[in-house]
Amino acid sequence: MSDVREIIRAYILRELAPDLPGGQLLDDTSLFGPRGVIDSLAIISLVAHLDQAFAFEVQAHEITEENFRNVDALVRFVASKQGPQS
Amino acid sequence: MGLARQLSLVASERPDQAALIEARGGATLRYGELMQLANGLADRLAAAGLQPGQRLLVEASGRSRTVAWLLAGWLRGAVVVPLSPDLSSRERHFFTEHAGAALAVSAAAEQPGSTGVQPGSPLPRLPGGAGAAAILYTSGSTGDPKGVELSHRALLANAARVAQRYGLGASTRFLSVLPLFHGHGLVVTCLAPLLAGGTVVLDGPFDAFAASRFWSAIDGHGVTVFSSVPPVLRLLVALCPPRSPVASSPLRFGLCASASLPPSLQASFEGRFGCPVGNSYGLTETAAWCSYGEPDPQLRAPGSVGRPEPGALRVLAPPDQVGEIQVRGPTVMTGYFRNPEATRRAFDGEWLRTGDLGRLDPEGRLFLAGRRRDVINHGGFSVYPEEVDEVLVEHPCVSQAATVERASDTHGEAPVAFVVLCGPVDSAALRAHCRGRLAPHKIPVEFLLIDDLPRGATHKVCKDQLRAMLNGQEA
Repeated sequence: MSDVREIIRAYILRELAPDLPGGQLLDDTSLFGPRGVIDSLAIISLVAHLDQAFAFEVQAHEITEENFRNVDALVRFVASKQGPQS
Repeated sequence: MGLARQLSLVASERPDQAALIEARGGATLRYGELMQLANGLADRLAAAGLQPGQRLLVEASGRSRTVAWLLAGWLRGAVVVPLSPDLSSRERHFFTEHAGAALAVSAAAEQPGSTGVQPGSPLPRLPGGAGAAAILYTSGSTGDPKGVELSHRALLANAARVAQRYGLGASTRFLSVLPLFHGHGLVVTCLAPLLAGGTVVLDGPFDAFAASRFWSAIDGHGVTVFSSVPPVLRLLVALCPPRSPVASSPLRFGLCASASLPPSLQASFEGRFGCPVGNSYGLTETAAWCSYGEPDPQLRAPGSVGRPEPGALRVLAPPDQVGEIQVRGPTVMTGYFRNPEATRRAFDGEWLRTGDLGRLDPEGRLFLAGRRRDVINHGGFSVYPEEVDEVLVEHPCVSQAATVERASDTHGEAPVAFVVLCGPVDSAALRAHCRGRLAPHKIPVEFLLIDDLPRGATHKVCKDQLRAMLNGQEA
């Protein structure tokens, strides 16, 4: 799971929030919304990256606040998508 | 009390029909219940001392109680000032002061049972302006604030035009995904269907997760029409699987406005979801729309933003050539609140100078061709560069700043700031500086360092040179 976490963190910091110092992206930092660090439309890129990096397909109904709220939620979501192999 | 009276009449004819449905949770407010709730809230406003003609700030979260609070304000004879709940405290304070608000309804008042009503500061008694219904702020917490003052007549006239043009009626179920502090969201997606006796399905404002809810809201609530902005359509195209057109689906068409809709995006959306989208044009100063897009692909001209009402719009140019778009008639604003100089500059006699460029073809269809005024349209939200620049130069390490637009695939345009530094600071610090002072959509997406700003003979910043530098950078 630490690999998953690092892959997600690295992508966010490199592509979606390049101005954000790494130390400010905590596991519970809000990614979207008024206090989020990512523009709402950047979710398109994030979904595409998850599809590619973890070889699954995020479904539209899975793009929820519960799954995408923060890095912790994303790690849990990826684990649930990967199922028993993870 | 034009709006309140009209809505009361509509409600009296259909008290048991659904007026508002919250897509998330499904809570329904029938017309009779909406009026009962609004009347109760109006009594609370009266008890709190709100006088007719005074300004009532409403943090517009987009829930059904937002609509009830607005209606309560109108029942009380107040001028409502709907604001984003996401404003910084500095912006909220500024608008409270500038509007001279007597009372403010916080977003917490969305919760049933909450008092939510707070006194504004101070409590001035200013003339409300005959027939004033609402003030919608399009900018700016510094410099040259523009609170667009709209009369009951203007809101009613545009809502009626939208209803008539798109055949809204009692069987309409209109999906509202836009903020109700925005003219498009308030007038087109809320007042027009309500005044036509239809039902508004509230699921806004649109956020990063709304794509997952959009089609289930459409299908689950029998939505017949929606209106949106280009970034929303782009999100849906990118994230939602294709849908086959279903003959039995009540969805007739979608509408779009508030920012440039690229024909390629329009075609992608229609091809992917089998739902035609009409592209309209308007601005807050015209109480939402002044040219009404045609959804039917067989009837519309590619790239057109539809047709205006006869005699209500002119282009200052020979036929079929590009010139400034001007608008007149009942939908046009009264003026900018407490800003007579900006109001004077905005009008050419009875004609409102829109600052946008366009052409009318021989069929009377309008095509947009750019803009004169210096405002950035970031995904449907106006960003006034001066406001951003003033915030930036408040930073001790920034001596000059100039913000211009850059084309954006997702947002149409995005603000980019050129900054001249007088001390060490990086982009992250500048972004953090802006966060506490500007609403999220106004924060530049990029900060570019420059030794000095290019200036002309009158010392005015040459923004065309900055735009050219951006283009060169992209190349």
